[in-house]
Amino acid sequence: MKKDAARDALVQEARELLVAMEAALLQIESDGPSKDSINAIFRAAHTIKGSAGLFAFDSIVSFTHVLESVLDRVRNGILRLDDAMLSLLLNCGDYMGDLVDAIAQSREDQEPDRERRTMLEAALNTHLEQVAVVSAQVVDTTGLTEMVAAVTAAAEASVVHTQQAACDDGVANPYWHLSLRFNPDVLRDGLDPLSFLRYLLTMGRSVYVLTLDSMPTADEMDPELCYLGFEIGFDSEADLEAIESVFEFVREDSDITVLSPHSSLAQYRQWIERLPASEHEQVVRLMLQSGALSDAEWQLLKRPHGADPLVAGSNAAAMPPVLRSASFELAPHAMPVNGSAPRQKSGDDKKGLEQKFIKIEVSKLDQLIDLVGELVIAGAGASLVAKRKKDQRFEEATQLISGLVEQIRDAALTLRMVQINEVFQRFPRVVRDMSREMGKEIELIVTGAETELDKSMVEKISDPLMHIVRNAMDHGIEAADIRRAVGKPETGVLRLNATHESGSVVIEVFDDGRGLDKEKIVRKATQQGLISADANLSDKEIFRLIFEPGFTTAEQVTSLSGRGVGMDVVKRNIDSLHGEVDIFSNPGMGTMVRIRLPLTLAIIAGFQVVVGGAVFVIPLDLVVECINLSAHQVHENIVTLRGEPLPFIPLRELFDLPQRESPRKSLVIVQYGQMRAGLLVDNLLGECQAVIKPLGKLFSKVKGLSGSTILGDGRVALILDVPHLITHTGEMEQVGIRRSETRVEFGERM
Amino acid sequence: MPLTQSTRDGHLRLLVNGGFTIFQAAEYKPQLLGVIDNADDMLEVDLSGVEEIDTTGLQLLLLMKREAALQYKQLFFNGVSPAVQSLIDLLHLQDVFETQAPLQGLA
Repeated sequence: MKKDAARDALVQEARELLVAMEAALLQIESDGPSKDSINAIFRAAHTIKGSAGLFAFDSIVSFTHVLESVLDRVRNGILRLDDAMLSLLLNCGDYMGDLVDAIAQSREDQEPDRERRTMLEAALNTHLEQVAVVSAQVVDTTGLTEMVAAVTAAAEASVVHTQQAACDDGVANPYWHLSLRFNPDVLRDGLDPLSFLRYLLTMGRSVYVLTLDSMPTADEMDPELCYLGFEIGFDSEADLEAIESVFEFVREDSDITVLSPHSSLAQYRQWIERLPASEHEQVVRLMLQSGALSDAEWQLLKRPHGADPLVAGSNAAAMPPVLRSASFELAPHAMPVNGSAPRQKSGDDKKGLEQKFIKIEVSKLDQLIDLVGELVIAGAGASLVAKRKKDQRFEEATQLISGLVEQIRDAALTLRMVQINEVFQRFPRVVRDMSREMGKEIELIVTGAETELDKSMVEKISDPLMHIVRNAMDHGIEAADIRRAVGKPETGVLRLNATHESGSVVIEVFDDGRGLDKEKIVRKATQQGLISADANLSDKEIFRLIFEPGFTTAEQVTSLSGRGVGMDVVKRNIDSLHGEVDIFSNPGMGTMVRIRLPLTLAIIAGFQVVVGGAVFVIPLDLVVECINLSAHQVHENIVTLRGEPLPFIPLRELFDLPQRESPRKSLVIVQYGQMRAGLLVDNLLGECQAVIKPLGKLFSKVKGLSGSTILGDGRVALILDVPHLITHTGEMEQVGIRRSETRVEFGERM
Repeated sequence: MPLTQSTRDGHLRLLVNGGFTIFQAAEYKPQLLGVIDNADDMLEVDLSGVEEIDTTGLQLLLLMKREAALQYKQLFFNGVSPAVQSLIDLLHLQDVFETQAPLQGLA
């Protein structure tokens, strides 16, 4: 049980990290490499490996280890982050996702796809081997920093590398050198650097140790931060992996450099250059005194970069002959690179964006919301008692309480709210991959990603959105040559947008492609027997046909869409969320799919009305106004309101409730989306908080009701399904009551 | 009492007992600095009662040495517990903890 909980946590964390990793990779692809994003990728891989290691999920550990080694070299600027590398890293991320899925399903002992893994590992290893070859070759003063430069600038740099003669057998030092700078917070995290050193020394013997302290003045020194760094000469038979693994837990935010015995001068140089100036002299003295570097090696090492070739030549007298000739040859080539080479910065703040969240089990949250729901009901009961007692002070007290309860309810509900970005963030990758696969150029624009909606909905809306986006890219946006032919920019635009609108969340997927072909839809639908040939349909009704099961207009089935499954599933999924979906399309200009979802499914602010003695609740967000019907002109079920006709539904007749005498009839005007309608009721009771209790299975087919709630006095009230009722009026009144708002609005968006 | 002050041969003597770790660090820092301020020109620090020492303890000892030097006071260690000895061996800190010897800072 316990292990399962931990496993879930691991899986969730790993998935989040993989998402972060993918986002960082895509950012690099669009904006070029940045230290932050490279670090983010490394951190993600590293953390996943670490946590998986705790559970001994060896499959993922060993895979991630190879990946991490490559990333480490990318981070240090030794490997270039080019297009091929990005694709490889994305693929590796995908495969890690597969491995994580396997863990989630407790099948971690089976490899999800051995072939793919072998392929990826081979690709990763190729990069590692290249590095080994290159770093063995690099020797002279124009060493590794040029490789750093290679990340940003440089075909020419690689020319330099290949021309560099292989003449560095490494330094004479037979010992490991470890340079350790710990994250200042390491102590607060409960880790003691000394215990790592003690553990390290179980694998070998220290030859020399230098303790460096960077303590500020006594006043400023915080006794709980770590100010110590260590330079250690280490005599051990252990391999690099074993030694690095000692510092596994602190590696992330600390600066741990491990130099192998006989490392090349270039590696030493790279390390020394990253040392802060204040420590430089001390460390160098240590290296020389302890014999880790000989004087001759140090002379070679310390020559500054970008040295004038003449200077290099004059210094060369002090060098062994072989090296001298090498540096003479190399200097001219190295020159142009040196000029533009950005140096790797040291001591960068490695702390990325730390997530300031705590993880809570969803069931706990649901429990809280349930309790708040009960509190709301009990509070309503108390207010009712107070009102009946006609005790003013009691009433005031209950009012105060209900105000607070309302706040608690809102706060509890927002706990469940997450940004829709959780869904949207998957799309850059999808668009990237699909546009490559189809050879189309597609730009993705995401707006309103910070719009919040209920967590449960985020999960359920993800697949339908994916279908819609895939459809838009496959059927909507044309290939570049067709676009050019019709005078559109070659790059297609796909836009995702989310906004809040009167108690609901609206998600729009827009593409500037060819638009839906109405005639073709009608023709296909007729062929498939979905409509009769002579049916006279409005645009909206035609577009809605594509949601019919089995409907497809694609002439050919591609791997991406067109199999006729999808849009009906989309519709069904959205229906199950009490949402609705609409399509707007202009031939040649594009298509927009608009999904409208209710904000939450748990507690709503409601408006109580009485019809025929029964109490009904209308979601308050949808109520526009209340009017007295007798003051307005009424014809059939249409009322003229401020010169505009408005259809209304007499609820008493709709639900066949007994006639009750009531002095006047009130009309509650509700709006959903672009449509308005009136609901005729006997009496208005006012606002309340309604904890939505689902109707039993028995009533699942009942239209017009979306749930029930318990009132303060213990009675049950039914919650009206306003969207459905409004559509109902629309069906009843075919005449042009609905204004052409939708079309106009879409036209503006084009 | 984990930190005890006394005088011996006319100079101040500080005895550290028990744990010398992150759990004590925040509490000890001002006290240790206060002891240096109180010392005349010589301070003896007896570590023979230290049962446990970690990075924070080491840092505070280094800080004390530095502060003492800044105030031209002599600080020396007398008495080393097994825990401290193991730390000295681990980090090759014999120079720093040399008892009774003239003081050489780390850097």
